[in-house]
Amino acid sequence: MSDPLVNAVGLSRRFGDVVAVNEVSMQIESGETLALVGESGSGKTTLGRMLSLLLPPSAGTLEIAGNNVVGLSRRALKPVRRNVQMIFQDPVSSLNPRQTVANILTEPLRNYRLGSHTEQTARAIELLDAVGLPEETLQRYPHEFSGGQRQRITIARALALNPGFIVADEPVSALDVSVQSQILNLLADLKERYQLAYLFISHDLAVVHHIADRIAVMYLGNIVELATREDLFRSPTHPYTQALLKSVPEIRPGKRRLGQVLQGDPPSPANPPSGCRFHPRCPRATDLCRTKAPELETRSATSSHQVACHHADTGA
Amino acid sequence: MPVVEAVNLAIARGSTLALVGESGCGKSLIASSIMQLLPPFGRVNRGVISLDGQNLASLDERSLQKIRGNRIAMIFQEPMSALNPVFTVGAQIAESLLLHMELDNKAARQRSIELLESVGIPDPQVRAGNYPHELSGGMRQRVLIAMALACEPDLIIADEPTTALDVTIQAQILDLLHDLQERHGAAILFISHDFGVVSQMADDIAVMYAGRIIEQGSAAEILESPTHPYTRALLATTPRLDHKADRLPAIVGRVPSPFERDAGCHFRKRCDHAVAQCAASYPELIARVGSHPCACHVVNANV
Amino acid sequence: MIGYLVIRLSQSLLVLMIMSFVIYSLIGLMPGDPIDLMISSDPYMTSEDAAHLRSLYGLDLPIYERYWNWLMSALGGDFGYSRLYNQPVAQVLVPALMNSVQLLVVALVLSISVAVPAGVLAAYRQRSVFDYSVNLFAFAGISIPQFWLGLMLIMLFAVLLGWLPAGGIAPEGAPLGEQLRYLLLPAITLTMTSIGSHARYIRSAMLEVLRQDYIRTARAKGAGASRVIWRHALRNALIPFVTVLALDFGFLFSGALIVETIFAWPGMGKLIFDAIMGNDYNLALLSLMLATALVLTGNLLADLAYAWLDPRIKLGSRG
Repeated sequence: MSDPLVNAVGLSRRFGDVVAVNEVSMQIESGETLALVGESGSGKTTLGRMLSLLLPPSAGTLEIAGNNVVGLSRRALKPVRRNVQMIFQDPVSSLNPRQTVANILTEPLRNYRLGSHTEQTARAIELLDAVGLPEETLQRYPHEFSGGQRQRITIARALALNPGFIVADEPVSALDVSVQSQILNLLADLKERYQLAYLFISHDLAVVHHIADRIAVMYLGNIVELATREDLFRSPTHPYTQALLKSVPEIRPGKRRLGQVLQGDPPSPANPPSGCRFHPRCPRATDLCRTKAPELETRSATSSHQVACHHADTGA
Repeated sequence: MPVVEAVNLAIARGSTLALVGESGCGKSLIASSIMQLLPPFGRVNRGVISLDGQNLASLDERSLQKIRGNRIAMIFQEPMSALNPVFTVGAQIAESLLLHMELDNKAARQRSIELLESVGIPDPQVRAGNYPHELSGGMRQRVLIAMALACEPDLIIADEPTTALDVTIQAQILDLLHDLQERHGAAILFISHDFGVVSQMADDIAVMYAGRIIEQGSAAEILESPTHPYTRALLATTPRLDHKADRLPAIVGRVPSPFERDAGCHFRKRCDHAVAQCAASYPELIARVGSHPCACHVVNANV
Repeated sequence: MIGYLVIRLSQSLLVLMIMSFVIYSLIGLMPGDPIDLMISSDPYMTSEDAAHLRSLYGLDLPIYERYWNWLMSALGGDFGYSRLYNQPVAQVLVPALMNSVQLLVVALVLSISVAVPAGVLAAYRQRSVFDYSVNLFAFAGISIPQFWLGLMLIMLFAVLLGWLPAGGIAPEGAPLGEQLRYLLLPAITLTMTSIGSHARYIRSAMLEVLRQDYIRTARAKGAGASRVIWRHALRNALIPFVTVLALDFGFLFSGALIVETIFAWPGMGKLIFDAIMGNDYNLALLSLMLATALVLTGNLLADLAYAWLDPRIKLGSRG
């Protein structure tokens, strides 16, 4: 097996006293979608910003296509940055309202001084075609488009430099269901066509179930479970993952209660619980959980299913 | 210009009607119309809004104030912005009581603490003295629910009440709404874009598209045997946990704005089954024998 | 809270110290000194006499030494003598300060009590005749120069109608009504500009607040229009207004300088003007410092009011 495209080991990020991401390790292969799931405050966006090179980690190592990126100067980072792009949740605020689409799409090319003006415009048309927008789009401004079309433009921009890795932070959360499915299909097509790797950050498990190859579940800065899509949905092992899956409302008739899935709110990352950070809300918590934080470990030598729980094998 | 047209809804005591649709379909405007709290330049041009036989559309502002918050209460989508940042949550709950019930300040305060307790807020005594920014998102939504329950309303309008919340908190809030409905027997108009949430909450479902109700029936009818092409497409395109498709069947195009609507069916340009008649006239919402009401020429022709 | 106050007050003192040096240096940079004035008024004075007087007053010393000497005696409570009034500076200043504060407070109260209701109602009845009138009046107030308005008011009420005195202040011990008669015209002149900008500010702050979700919540509770406006909306709209008010305080004070001169109101404004024109170093220095202190106090009060109005602000948590 070749080296993974993205290789993070022990990645941490603190803001003051708050540990937003705590010693996270993960690998992403070319052509693979790794979904990052978690609730607000879980640190998934911070991790995404580190992997997209927008935020330097406080500790740990990160390699993109075999190049170390931690501790590099802006200048040294620039060639690596070409390979890593980001798509944001809100397609309104991530597009400059005073720039034409042509300007927005050629800006990355101009930043890297790639091609003549004519070549850049030709590339912009090619990009629009890839995301299913007509050439006439070039001379228009972002506000003239609907939310779904704007998200297509941000995707086209992300593709401009032929990246190998795209971090998509809640890319369909702001969209209506019918538009959401168009964008999800587009992302899947582009992955196929350009052998892209995605880090797909989302709070929506149904969307993740649809698009992900592997899934990492985060809780209060830690990855608590990491598995292939099939394994995670078939045999969720961490009690938090189990609660999360149970909380997703199924589409089937019958007015019903879910029954207490998880009690209370997640604790503040500024003041995390001792030991396993999930223990105050966990039905299986024991004294061990209160004192010692579990490691993220594979369950057996043959499986890639990783869980961070002292009682991974006891719960049903 | 009509934004919402020809909408007929009825909700019985103790039951929940869900209004489903994508953004811009007019579902929130229906909520504001029932409350008679339309934005500037908005008004109910025609029709009757009746609460236990009394027509709200014909009442003056003073009488409406006696009904709002008292017999009809509302729960909103954004629990942070729906609470006034400069008053304690206790004071905001007590305000409803003081407006509608013959209570003095002390009794209203006591009652608001009881209400906080009834919606599952720990340490209600302390929490009553907190300002909204001191509470988590889930707690704020509980406060809004307590506020809505204050005067034991007959109808609760919940406008996307869990959309801004995390999924585990959403599960808590939805269960809470179930408990409260059982205890108080209020009717709930539940507005949402999420079929999953709706199927957990609703007795009946009305699907809206571009300002009209296009299909209406019991939850089982709509979720198990939808007939309108839009409902069917919407259900098929929603990603779900119990089913994995390689590609989601997408609905092409987008919803027409009120300016772009014409005399024909508003969905026909995105519809795979459209026929000539769809451009000629807007289909009536009628039920075939043995089925539920649906506004589609094609469906209703295939008897 | 107390810790916060201590920090803020010591910060203010530091600012005052720095300002005293800046003002001292600026006055030192002014052309001429008191001795030049003496020479021009006394033809028999020789240049030796002048040099002698300069060394007697310490005017031949370098500026930092002169400042140091002033500072030492000032810290001992001695602010020097006023050359113009032949009295200790403090004795000249205190009554003037009282008169100015009286004028400022009346103007401020007048402005707020007219501007807040006007702005609130203009926002509530947006695009009504009332709203347009408030806007027109506000722009008129902002654009009319104070000196012109002052003169017109004097012409109308003092000269033509003879209802009010043209200037000056009521003699000490006069009944309250008499004092108010003297106060009225300068206070109105001073208020006019700030009423306009305050009303417009309150109006736009209210429009912003009335769009918020919690206003809809209040209406959905069954609160009537007046309750929604005066209880739910106004308190939120006042939060940004308080900051503007504090910044305006300095502006109002400089306006007082003009108005006091027009109406011969014996306040700080007039005193500063006279002191600078008459090369009265000690008086100019201390009155300018008092003006600084007044603005600093305004800012401190605004911050306190801000925290009192907005529970999200915790004083002192930022250090």
